[in-house]
Amino acid sequence: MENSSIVGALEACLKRMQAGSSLEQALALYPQWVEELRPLLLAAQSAQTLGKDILIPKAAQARSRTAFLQAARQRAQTRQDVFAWRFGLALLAVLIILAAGAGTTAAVSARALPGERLYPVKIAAERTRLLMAGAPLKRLELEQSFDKERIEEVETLSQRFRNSQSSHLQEVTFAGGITEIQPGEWLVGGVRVLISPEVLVSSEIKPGDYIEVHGILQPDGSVLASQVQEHQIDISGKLEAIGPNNLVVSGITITVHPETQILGSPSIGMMVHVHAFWMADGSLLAQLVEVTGGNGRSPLITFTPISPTEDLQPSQIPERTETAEPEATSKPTKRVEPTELPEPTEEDEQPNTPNPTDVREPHGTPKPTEVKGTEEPHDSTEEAEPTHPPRSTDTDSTSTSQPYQRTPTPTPREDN
Amino acid sequence: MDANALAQIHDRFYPEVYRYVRFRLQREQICEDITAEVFLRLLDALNRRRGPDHNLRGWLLATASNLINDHLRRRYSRPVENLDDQENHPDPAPHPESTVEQIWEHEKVRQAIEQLTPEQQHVLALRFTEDHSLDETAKMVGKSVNAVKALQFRALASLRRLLSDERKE
Repeated sequence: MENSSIVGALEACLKRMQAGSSLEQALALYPQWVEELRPLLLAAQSAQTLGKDILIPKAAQARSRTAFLQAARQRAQTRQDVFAWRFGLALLAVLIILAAGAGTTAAVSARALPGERLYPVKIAAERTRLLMAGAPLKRLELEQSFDKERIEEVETLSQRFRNSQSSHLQEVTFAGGITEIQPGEWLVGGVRVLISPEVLVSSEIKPGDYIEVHGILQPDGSVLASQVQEHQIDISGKLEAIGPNNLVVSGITITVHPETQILGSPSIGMMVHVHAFWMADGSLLAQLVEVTGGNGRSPLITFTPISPTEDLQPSQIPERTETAEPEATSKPTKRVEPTELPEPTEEDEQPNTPNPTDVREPHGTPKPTEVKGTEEPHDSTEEAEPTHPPRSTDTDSTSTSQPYQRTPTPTPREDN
Repeated sequence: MDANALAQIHDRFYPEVYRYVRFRLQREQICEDITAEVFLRLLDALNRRRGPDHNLRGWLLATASNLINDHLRRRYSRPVENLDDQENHPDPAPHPESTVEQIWEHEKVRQAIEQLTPEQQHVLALRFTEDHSLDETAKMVGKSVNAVKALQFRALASLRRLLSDERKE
């Protein structure tokens, strides 16, 4: 094959020329193809000369080097940024998914009713919101809204009963104001509550009180109570204002009345702890106000959960005339443990000053305006009941453990 | 990526890549831009983990060849603009050691080379800029030695014809 031979001869000649031989020396190896190879080798020689005469532009090389290394740094930074963005986006996506899942669960659980699987989630979510609520007032509002939610749950379950959508008896817990007390049947937050003789209730509960009820929802929509107790709240915060009938603690107005136990000498700016009862009208009635210190403490609200019925053993229910025991501060009895109380002073000297001696005077006749939030009328006759014994001077003057009684109201049980 | 390693790569291969590009194109500024772009493409490839596995020189020269081909395609696709393109004219900045005759001769050769097929240009540039052997060229081109031999033969035959035509004119 001539061409193949010429191709091979060309390559051989090129090798020789690259090695330093001249064109003629290379051609001398292949005399039979001199005429064919010469122009090719001349062309190759021109190309070879062109290639060898190319000079490297140093300035361009330096610019290229600088741009090359700078681009490398930028790409490395971009890669880090991209990684950070991808990581951030991935993390965000995970959070969104989790939040969506949690939100979905919360949204679904928000419609849950007692006895349903998600109901504990709903309650836990509410407790979390209470813990997360910053301002004490916000917590109170949340607590009230949750109480309304409990009432609505009972009503919804009752509706299901009536529509025969549910047949099993369901335990419910709710809180509400007592609007009516009939023998064996109370109206609490619009829900009929059946009070059987076996249920231990405080003799002091009366219409207008705000109570918690735990019981079994009946097919007729009523709730057979297994436990009833007053709704209580503990508030710790800064005493911001003192009025004739109320205190303002961390923005929360709390009604005081002559029977409110006040420990210490509270003044504006002090930190106080208040143990109070919810009232049906949404107000708070102070049971105990205790000075806990100076400024600086953040307000704290503690909602007392429903206590077990064991707390209401008959033997522990104090009679109104009993002397308060240290444990008499137990919630059902609404008793507080008084400590040293200042001796009563003349009430007329500072009628509008919430001097502890004014509001704590046990034998003083409380004025109607002093018991704010209590719907029950107060009259002198009632106040003079033996169940409100004046602080006896016969007792040990150092022991001021005087029983504190709220406005006496016969309970249905007593009526029964 | 290690900056020192990258700097060494640039220092080591820039001359060879530039000579390859300059062998095929007439305008020096275009050659400088394309050579710089070759190394930027290397960065991109390394970032995408698609860089050269074992033959960095071959990868760089192949990339340079592709960029030149793209440049030539763009130039040929815009013939009107090329009327004013200085690339069709000799580089106005001659090297100090070059004579006018040499510069003129080189430009004629480049003009002829540019008329070869990209594959022929590629083979001639590899063979006559760095004196790569036939085996090395075959590896970088991705063809057999015999195929490269034939390709080289046809390239030189075409170049001879183009240069003869140029001289006749």
